Amino acid sequence: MKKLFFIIIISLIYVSCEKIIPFEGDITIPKLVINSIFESDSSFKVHVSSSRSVIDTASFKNINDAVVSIKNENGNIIETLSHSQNGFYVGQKKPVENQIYTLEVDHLNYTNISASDSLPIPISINYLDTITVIEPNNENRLQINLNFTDPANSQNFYLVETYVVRASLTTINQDTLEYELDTIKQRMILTDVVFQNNGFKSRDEQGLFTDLLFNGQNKTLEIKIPPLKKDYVFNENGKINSEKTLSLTLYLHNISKSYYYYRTSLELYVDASRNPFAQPVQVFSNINNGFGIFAGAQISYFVL
Amino acid sequence: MNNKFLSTLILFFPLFIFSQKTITISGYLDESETGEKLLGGTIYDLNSGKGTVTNDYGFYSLTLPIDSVRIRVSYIGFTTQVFEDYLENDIQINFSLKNQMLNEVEILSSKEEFIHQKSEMSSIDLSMDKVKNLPAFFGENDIMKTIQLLPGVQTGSEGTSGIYVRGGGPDQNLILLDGVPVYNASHLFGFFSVFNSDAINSTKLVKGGFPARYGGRLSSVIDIKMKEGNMKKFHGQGSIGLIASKISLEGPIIKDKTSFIISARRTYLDILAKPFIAANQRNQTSKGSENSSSSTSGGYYFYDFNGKINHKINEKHRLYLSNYMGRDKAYLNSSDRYNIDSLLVTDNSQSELSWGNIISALRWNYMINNKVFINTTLRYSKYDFLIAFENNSSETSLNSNNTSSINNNSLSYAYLSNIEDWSAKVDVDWMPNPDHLVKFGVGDIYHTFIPGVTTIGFEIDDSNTSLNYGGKNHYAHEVSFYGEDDWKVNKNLKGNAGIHFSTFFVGSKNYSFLQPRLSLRYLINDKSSFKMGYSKMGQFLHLLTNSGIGLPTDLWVPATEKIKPQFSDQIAIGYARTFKDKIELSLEGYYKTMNNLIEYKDGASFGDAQNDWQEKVYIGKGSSYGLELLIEKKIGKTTGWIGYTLSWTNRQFDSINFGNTYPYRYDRRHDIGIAITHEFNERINCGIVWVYGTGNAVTLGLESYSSFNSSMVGNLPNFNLSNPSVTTVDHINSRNNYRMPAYHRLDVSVNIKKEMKWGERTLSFGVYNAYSRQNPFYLEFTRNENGDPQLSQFSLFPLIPSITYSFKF
Repeated sequence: MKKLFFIIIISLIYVSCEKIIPFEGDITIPKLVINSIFESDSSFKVHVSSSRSVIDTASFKNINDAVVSIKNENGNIIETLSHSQNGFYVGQKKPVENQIYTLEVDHLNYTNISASDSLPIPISINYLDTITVIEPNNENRLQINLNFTDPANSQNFYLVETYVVRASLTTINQDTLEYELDTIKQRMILTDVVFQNNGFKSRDEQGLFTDLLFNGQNKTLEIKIPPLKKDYVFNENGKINSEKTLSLTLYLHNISKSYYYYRTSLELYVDASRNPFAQPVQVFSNINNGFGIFAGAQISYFVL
Repeated sequence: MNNKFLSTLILFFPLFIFSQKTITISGYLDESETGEKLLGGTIYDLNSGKGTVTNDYGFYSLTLPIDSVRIRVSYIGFTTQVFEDYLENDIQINFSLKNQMLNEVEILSSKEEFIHQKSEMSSIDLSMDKVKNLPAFFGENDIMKTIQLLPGVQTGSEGTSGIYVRGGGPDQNLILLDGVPVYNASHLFGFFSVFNSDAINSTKLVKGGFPARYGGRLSSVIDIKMKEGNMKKFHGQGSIGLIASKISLEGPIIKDKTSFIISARRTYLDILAKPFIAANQRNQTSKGSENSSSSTSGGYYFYDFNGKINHKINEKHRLYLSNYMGRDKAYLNSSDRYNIDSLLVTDNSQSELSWGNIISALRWNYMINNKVFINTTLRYSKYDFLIAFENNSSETSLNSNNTSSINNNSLSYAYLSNIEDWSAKVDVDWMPNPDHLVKFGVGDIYHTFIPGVTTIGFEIDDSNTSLNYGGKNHYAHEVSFYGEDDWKVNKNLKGNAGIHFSTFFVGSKNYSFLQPRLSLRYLINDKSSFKMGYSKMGQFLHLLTNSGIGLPTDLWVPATEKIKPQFSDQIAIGYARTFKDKIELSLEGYYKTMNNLIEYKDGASFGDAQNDWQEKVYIGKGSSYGLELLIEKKIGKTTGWIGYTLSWTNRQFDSINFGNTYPYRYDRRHDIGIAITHEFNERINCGIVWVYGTGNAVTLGLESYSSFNSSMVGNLPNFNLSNPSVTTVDHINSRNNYRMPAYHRLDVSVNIKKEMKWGERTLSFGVYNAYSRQNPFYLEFTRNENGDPQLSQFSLFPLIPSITYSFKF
């Protein structure tokens, strides 16, 4: 692909020229932007910022003085969130499943926004086992088989991710100079047919899928993990650096439909921005009069 | 049943009422100097007021009452001939007309059929003489670029030869070269078309009111006929231009019986660039170390070849064999050799991007009798596109004890797509009487589609691995039948009615379309007429394209079990008028709907070879409506036309733009094309082209915001409240939501001819984009030196002068 693009660009570059032209579109009025995912084990947490016109020279602004409230299905305010820092607003109450929550954000200088979503029900995990498999190229891979029951009579959306925790230690004469824990997203090998969602192919960093092929049934999800980054010890002039993997954690989210659309479109958007031939992507948003996402997710995780 | 029989009898009754006391004059019409057939020439009996026109092979048949006849034979630009006799029996007469342009500067009026007299609408014939006198991009005359100047036809991006007719896509044009479909008519990423103007005899564009004989595409037919070769004398012509040269030779193999024509063209940018690359190479090598060497070569070229043999077996039988082949190739090769310690490392890479067409047709004309003419054609058409990359590297020990290779690695990558057709068709022309011209026929096309297959191969030492993935091959039969009658109902009313039926067998699926066609002309007076037309069109092929600039990466794919075929309905009404037998005016309005269009999904592109193409597309619909005005002057010292189009074109896909209707990329509110040529004297003529078009609709994100990356829930490990990882999203409120600046350009050319002992030479001077307008090619938000965003417009071609030396003998 890059070769092709290179050849085309080389062919055109002899004659192409660039000039700055006036932007003749409407200068858009900044809108409120919401980043908020709520889940059963945490209280509501909402980040509020503002959008800008694409030709605006200012940087994105966190909004620290908005009125952020959460309403229940009856339209009653159940909580008004307090500003914490950098545009984050946090509450005390935890959402419960199958309740529709409405977020409302009021601000004097912006059009008020609202968004509604609910928390999906928890995932019923039946079992999880791991085996080590040897691939044809003699590579050892960890294979995770995760069996869960998909709720019947409803459309469900899932997200699977894995993370590793790496510890790095620097010592001199057994004195610790530095100790750091770093959480890094772990690549997966997603070959299960569920990851081919109607033409959208989930990336190896995250697996997004629906229950289209197993609605109401038990599903065994097969995920392979490529060899983890090797542990090492390195001695440099008496300073010993070591790094090792402490844990691997698998996260399985039962996510709302809005969150699924948002994540798939965002993933496509990032891919398309690197591909000059790709169709432009409109990122999904469920925020009325604004941008971003307010959505629910149930999380199950397993430390392996 | 009885009703059906009665209806059939009533329908065909007029065909038989002339069966008594008539004679039929039939034969061919050709050019006296060359023997080249004249298509669409008029054969008219001045006594009875009956007439006909020659068909696509120069054949005519005119049935008249037994009486004295005064036949006027005419063709625009040719001397009119009148034949007088008293005829009692059927007779075959072949007419030959003399080309006035060979020895006269001023083209006199000829009694051809004027626009208001023709029953067909939305149809334009283009003379190659006009094309050759108009300014041309880099001096290369191009029939497709000339077609772009006509109303209802819109260009794609700057410089490209792709066309968009009445809101349709580039795949919806049936481009026929001697009756064979051409799938990719572009050279050099679309800046030139594959048609060598020296090899073309005639071109016809139909964009609505389609006669039933045409089928398989929704929006237009571009019917290009190659020359047949001079039956009388050997001739040649050619040209030397800035980027390409071409030559064409034609003549009799057996005089008046067998003729040939061959034409070839090649660009030479790659050859011209070679000395510069070599000099640069020497310079680089001299700076390198003693034991290292490096070489790079690369370039781009295209070539094409046309050949045709025409053999007259006898007065009733003729055979034609025509062939086209052309290819574009861009390549880059590199070779490196260097030492690391005691190892000699060699690394060789070759990469290639190429595409091309091969087209062949074998035609057999058989005049069964003086009223029935049959043409049988066997056809072959193939288009393929290839991206290939290969790398070989090896490490050899320089140690005197061991000089064998230590490591040999190779990697190869190839992406291939192609479409291949084998087809046969039989077309019958039946001319029962002067008021009817009946055409019917049957055809079958066997398609093979390879829509994007990727092959990756590794060789590490002696271990080979090969992977194949991508779209599945598809095989399909497309069978079609048609019947039409060009019927002169009375003095004022004339029409063309027909049915085209086509059926498509692909996998276990079968699709069929019954496509009625009708066009009517009603003469208001002897200078003007009212016209209307209706066409239903079906198309079993789709073109997957997302670049918008007509790249060869576009994939031809068939309707499948999952993807339905396209179909359209179009109505058009028009008014035509001829002023003083010199200037023709046509005003048409049209409304067209298109269904089952396909478009790549958001974020998808041809390069994602792991998914089958069927998983990467959405299905939707489109509509287009507008007004087209054409004012044309065909005769006199100054000729040319002014075309104006006012149109609206939209698309609607349930899964694109949140289901909302959005403007098509080439939705162009105003489109103007002016093409004028003027003969100063017999030596000098000039041409001027001016085009204007509303800017293309493109998709730009007009608002930006921060979106948190992936995990943003509090208890997930990489969620950092004080410093969250974010992606900047440019929000697209609607597909094709921004208009590029308008496109306009002026081209000028001057042709100076001179008679030589050996023939004639012409020096053509041209300027493309004479006022060096920076027309938009694409737009992008960039940042200036302060990091502030700005809208940048990238343009391709400023003022480009050209000079071409042409000759003919």
